Amino acid sequence: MRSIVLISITRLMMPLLLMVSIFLLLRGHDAPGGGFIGGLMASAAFCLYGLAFGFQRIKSVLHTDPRVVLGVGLLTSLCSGFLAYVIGKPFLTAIWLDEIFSGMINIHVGTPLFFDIGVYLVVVGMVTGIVIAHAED
Amino acid sequence: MLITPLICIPLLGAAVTLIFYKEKNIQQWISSITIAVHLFYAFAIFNMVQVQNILVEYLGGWAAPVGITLVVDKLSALMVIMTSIVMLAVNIYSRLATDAKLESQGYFPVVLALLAGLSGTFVTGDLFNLYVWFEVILMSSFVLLSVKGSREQLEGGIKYVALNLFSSVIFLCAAGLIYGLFGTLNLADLSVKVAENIEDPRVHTFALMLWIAFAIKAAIFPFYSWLPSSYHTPPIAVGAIFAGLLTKVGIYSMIRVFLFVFNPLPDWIYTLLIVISLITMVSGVLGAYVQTDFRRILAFSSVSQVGFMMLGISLRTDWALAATILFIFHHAFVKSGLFITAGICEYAYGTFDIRKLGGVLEKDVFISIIFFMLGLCLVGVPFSSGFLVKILLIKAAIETSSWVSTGVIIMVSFMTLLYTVKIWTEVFWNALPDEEELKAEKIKEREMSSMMYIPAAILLLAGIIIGLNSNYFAEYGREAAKNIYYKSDYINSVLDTSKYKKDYNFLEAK
Repeated sequence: MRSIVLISITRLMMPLLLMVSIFLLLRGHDAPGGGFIGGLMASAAFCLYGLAFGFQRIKSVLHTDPRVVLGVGLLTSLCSGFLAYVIGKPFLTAIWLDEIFSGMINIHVGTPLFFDIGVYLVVVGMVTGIVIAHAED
Repeated sequence: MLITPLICIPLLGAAVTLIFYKEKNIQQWISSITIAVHLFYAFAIFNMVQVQNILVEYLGGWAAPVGITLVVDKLSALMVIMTSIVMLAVNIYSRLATDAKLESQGYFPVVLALLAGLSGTFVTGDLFNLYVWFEVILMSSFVLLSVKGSREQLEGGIKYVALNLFSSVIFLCAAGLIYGLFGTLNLADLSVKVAENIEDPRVHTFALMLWIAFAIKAAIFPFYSWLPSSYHTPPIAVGAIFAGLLTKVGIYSMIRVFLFVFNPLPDWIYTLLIVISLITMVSGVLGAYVQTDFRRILAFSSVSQVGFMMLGISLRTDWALAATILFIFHHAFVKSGLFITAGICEYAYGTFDIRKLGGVLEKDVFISIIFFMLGLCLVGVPFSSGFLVKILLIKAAIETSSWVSTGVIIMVSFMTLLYTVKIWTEVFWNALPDEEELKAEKIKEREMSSMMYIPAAILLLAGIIIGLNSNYFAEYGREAAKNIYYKSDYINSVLDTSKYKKDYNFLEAK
């Protein structure tokens, strides 16, 4: 059953929820927020979309299968950990751009952000995958 | 120094297999290559441990006891190699006896995640991190257990998850309480602080809470009901991993946490544990004898074998612990091998019910020989791997004047022989019961490829190698056990870089 109210609300809420989720993702690490909670927020947005338009259409919004999102996320997180090996530090050691190029770059960005992006993708892939699988049954 | 690849290689493989979720062939190849690389790396680590004794890595550069520490000592190295070999054999088997539904539902990525979880459990040096790896194992094994979604599978799966979640809750509570009391979760640091407060009854309570959490994982006497009801439901490619590796996680954690950190507890606790392990041994063996399903016999046999391992822990001598460590090692190969033989019999002759099987010895000599040899290893005939571990255990029981357990070990070994002979006669030796009846039940025979012998043969070979090199393995097991009882090496290497550097030799005065 399609509800016109739900569809209209979803159109309004979707961008907002996704923006908040990315805000939470970027705010994380040193402040409350991070990849996990951001990913949950984004999956909530996709689930809302699924409720309004049908769960199979989530895949077309994601442009791929949730499993691929999960895999890419896992890969991103692992690679951000491996970067530390390149400069000869233990696995998962944080590398900050503003520490390496101090004076030139003033943004506090580093491998933990990539790790969080990976977690974000893993959570989105996992939750939407589970929701779609349940909707199919 | 480089321990993380043991965890990262399988995770990387899992990520890549997820990306190629549509291509079954690519998934198979990636998973085989990943496990082979993991095995190779595990051997490299094993060689490094021979030289350096204990390897330590601080994740993210946060030194102990603040950050997560990964530690590989002789015990961990042996466990990681065991995991990898069993996984490789099962992987080869799953390529041949494919189950389309299982594979389309993500068998390969989940198995790789399970491998990462198992390796993580065996190399972590942190109590909370151990909990996290337990959860990784629990989640991936639940997916594997219930992926086909039949009624029987869901029943087994729910029992498995319910009991294991209960165990996780207890584990988490204990970890929280320990952190509240000592302010640390690093095992090396914790063992120093526990040793200073070993008389405190709160410490005994925490130790027993952790013991219960691990006992549920390991399927020990009052808590083993999940094992026989879940092991026989999944496909053999999953069942062999479960039988070989999952209960071992509980026993390993008991050694690592219960023996290494909380030692020595009051004597009554160890006496109680001896009684519990004897009950586990006897009840498992009795359960195995009355079953008629090939896999259920093996599942109950796992319970009784876990009892042996637990006995080695409760006797608390170097040699007893060495016996436990080698028992874990030998049993993983033998039991997975037996599960795979059961799978081959089912694949070729259509059923797991030993009453409806028969005459396999005439039809297929190779698989009969493999089963026969694996059975001898399980029972513990001289020159087999089972003989080495049982003789070490009996020696330890006699040395501690624990006559009852000596008797029970010998009795249960004979009863192990009974149910092994039962399978042998019903499945391999006797002729088929009644061909007409079987046709009525539509049991079909299938052609199998001769490649299917390879995984069972690999596992058998591992068992034979242990049996033939008993001296080497006994000595290795003893050194691994000494690392657990004489903690100073471990503690000094882990806390080396921190302000905690002191001389911890005082702990050795037991």
